[in-house]
Amino acid sequence: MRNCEFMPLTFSFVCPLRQGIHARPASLLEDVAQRFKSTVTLLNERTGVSADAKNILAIIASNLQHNDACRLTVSGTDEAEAMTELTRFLQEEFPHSDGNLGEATLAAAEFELPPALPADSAKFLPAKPVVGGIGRGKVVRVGRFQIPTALRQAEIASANAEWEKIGGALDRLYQKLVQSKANSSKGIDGQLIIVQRAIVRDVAFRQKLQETVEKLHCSAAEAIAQTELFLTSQLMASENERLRERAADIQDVTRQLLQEIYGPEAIKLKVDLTDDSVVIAEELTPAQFLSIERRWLKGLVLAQAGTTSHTVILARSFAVPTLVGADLRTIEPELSGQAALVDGEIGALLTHLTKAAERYYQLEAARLSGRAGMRREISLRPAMTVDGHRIEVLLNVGSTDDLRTGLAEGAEGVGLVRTEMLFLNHESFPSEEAQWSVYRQMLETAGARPVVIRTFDFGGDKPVGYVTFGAEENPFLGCRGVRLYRQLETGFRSQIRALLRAATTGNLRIMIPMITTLQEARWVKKIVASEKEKLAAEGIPFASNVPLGAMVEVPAAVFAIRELAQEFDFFSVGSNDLLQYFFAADRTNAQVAALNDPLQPAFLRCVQQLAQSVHAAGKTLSLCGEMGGDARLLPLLLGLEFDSVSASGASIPCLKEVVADSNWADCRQLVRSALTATTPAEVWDLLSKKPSARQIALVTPELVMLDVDAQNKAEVIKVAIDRLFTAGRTNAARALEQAVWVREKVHPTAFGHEFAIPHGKTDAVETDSVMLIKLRNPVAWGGEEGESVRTVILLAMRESGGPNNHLRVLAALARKLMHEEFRQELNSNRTGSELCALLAETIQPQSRQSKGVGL
Amino acid sequence: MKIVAVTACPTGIAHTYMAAELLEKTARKLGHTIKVETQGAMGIENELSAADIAAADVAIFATDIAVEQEDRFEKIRKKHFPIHVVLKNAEAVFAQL
Repeated sequence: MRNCEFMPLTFSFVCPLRQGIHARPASLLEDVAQRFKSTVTLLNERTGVSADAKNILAIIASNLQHNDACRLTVSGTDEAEAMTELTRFLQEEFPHSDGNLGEATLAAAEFELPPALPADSAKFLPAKPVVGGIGRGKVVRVGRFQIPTALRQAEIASANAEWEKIGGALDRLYQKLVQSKANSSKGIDGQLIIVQRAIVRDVAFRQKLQETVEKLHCSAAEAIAQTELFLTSQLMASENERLRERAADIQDVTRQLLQEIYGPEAIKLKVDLTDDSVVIAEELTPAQFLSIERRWLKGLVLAQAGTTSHTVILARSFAVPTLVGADLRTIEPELSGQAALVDGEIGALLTHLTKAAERYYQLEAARLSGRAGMRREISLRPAMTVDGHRIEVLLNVGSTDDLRTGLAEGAEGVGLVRTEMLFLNHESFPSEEAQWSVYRQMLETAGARPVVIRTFDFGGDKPVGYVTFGAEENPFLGCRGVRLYRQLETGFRSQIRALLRAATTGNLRIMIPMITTLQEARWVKKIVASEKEKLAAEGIPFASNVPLGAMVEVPAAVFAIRELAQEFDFFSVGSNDLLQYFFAADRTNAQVAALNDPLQPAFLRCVQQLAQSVHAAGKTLSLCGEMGGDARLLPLLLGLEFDSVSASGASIPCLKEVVADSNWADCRQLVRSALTATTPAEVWDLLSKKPSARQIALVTPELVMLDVDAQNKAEVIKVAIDRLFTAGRTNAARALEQAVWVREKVHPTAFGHEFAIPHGKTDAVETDSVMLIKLRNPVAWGGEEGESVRTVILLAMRESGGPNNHLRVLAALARKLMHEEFRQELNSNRTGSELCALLAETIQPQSRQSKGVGL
Repeated sequence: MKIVAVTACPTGIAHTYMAAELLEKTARKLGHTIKVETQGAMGIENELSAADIAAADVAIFATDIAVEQEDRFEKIRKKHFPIHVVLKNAEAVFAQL
């Protein structure tokens, strides 16, 4: 028999978490501790605070920092088993429970300055770039929000009076949120307000607040702080990213509540900017981001935020250059108010810029705006491959505003209008009239261009306040899209009526989400037909010939196209859902989301079968998921013979550029190879080796640059490669620059006579190019003799060749440079186009291929 | 003198051919006969045969990377120069043969 006196078991360890203890590791520890009857105590030896390891809040409150010495004590009937399991957990799992920081340190390690930006030209803080571009402004630091201690510890008259303050604030905040919906035009703002409103009205939230005031007999501020901590730590502990995002929403609400009670002076929430600014913060909630006057926000640097956090998505949609994972401890406090620059291209925050850095950023500005100009030109033409194959590049939108902006970017129509926002923004189902006016406005804006409007697509995973779904174990496999329409038949009918009526003003197509079976298709058709009959009977004008299409999101639909094509006029792949259902991997679950790889050959085979069935039935196929917005993947969609592709406005110019740069025959060949590939990496390799199909001459007048005012070798190389970038001859200027520098490091390429011939062979080049750069003043080119150079011939070649293999002509040009007469001709006082003609003539394929003089 | 030479550089798109051209040009000027094999991005061109090598007095390697099929040159006197040395002053290279 065991003795009833237990000898407590202890285990000492050092806190391995770089970010210290936070909700996620705490919840994992709590989880393990809860499995045993024994008491488990965690002692922070640095602070002397000990915590019950079965209480997540207590663990967080122990305030463990990186490398703090700790001791775990276990005592009770099952202490031996508990100790074994806890020790195993602390050694094996606990150190890895701290996800985010790894990424940031990696980014810092990868950071490398471009050669034209000297290390002493500024102070650099490397961080991971998540939104590209360059922005500058004065530094504005936004501290982590803390509820003033004075408010929290304030003496209170009665718990009841404090609760009344909170209750009143909840009501006022709710009213404000209801009113503000009218003012929000951008979809994502609207969505945020809906979420916040739901929290304010949440019964459990209210109860927790009341309970806390009464139990702790504390101030309203303290009760709100405790409730926020309680709810957010539960959410932050979740593996589900969507739930973790909700934590920021809770904080947004609790802070607004505090402001309602204590006033904006005591609780400062709004980030006020009065000038061009670079905002630096540990973290920024979406509402804080939205409170910023956007015209002043030129750059954003965050310590904590993933690449997909809500705030980063917002920053991307407003094209604010953004870095995450910055180590803010290295920023001096006195930096506030000083000039700074966020470089979302190289991934660094710069301060104390010298003249050299200013010069570099002038060049960068010219590079980025030059490229935008070229894109714009291509973007305004219909998308067509080099060999004349058309694919429509369409827009995904949620509002008329998005639609207008996207059309200006060059979209040829709208491939997906999400109508959910319209429904989420209302307290109840919007009336037929309200819908009709929105649809009509969109169709009018689009003119003759096609507009595909998808009927409402919500379900357990996209809840709406006025619809009750019932609890679903797995909402993604539950009542979503068309599956909900029988239950919400009145609402569906009113949407169909509004659409049919609006269709008289434009080129409307209606699309149904989540179609799985023929039965669903027939039911939808029956409803549409009956609404047409009613409209006709009522004498209300409507369009009778509106095409009806289906989203292909469920793998079953891929194998039912022959039947579905009898009911539908067109199909559109919702790639996000098709991927997650195809691979059976929840796309919001970080542990399995990576399975949803559109480059998996199995998925490509699925899509190919779909495309064949759709076309065999004489219908058209589009794609409107995230895969469509990734320009790098577009050659696959071209080769799979998609008739159109649909993406957000910001992606349109890139997509059109890729189409203009592709050859349809090459794309089909690419798909044939991809279908027989075995891994996504192989497909990726095929994609990255696909050569540009544009028949661009090796040298054109824009590649001859005269009187270039460069200060040093690095600048010469940058200016030259930037020109290749703005001309669309490389999409990866930095990679090409690196390749050229790798060659220069072997030995500088100056070869006497004040000539240099820098060159790079890499697939960062889209089309083989020859440049001639004549410098206003000679620059030192390095090497033992520090040779000075006045004329530069830059060669950029594709590593994996391509249809136009220029090795031979480049060899001929290289040989020609050894001749004095040729160099003199290049140095002569000719115009750019004359020099271009001279170079072109030299590198004609028939030019003399010098062979050795025989022995 | 009868000379054989091999030129090769890391990327094989420029200096291999520049050095070959210069060696040929300079040899002509100095009254030597020369045959230059290029080992560039297009592979081996103007390949030196066993007979070419056997008939020559000396082999010049103007290379920044390893010479392919170097065993062909076992029996001949060899002089190695980095490519930039050849480009800088080809006549000096011939003076050292």
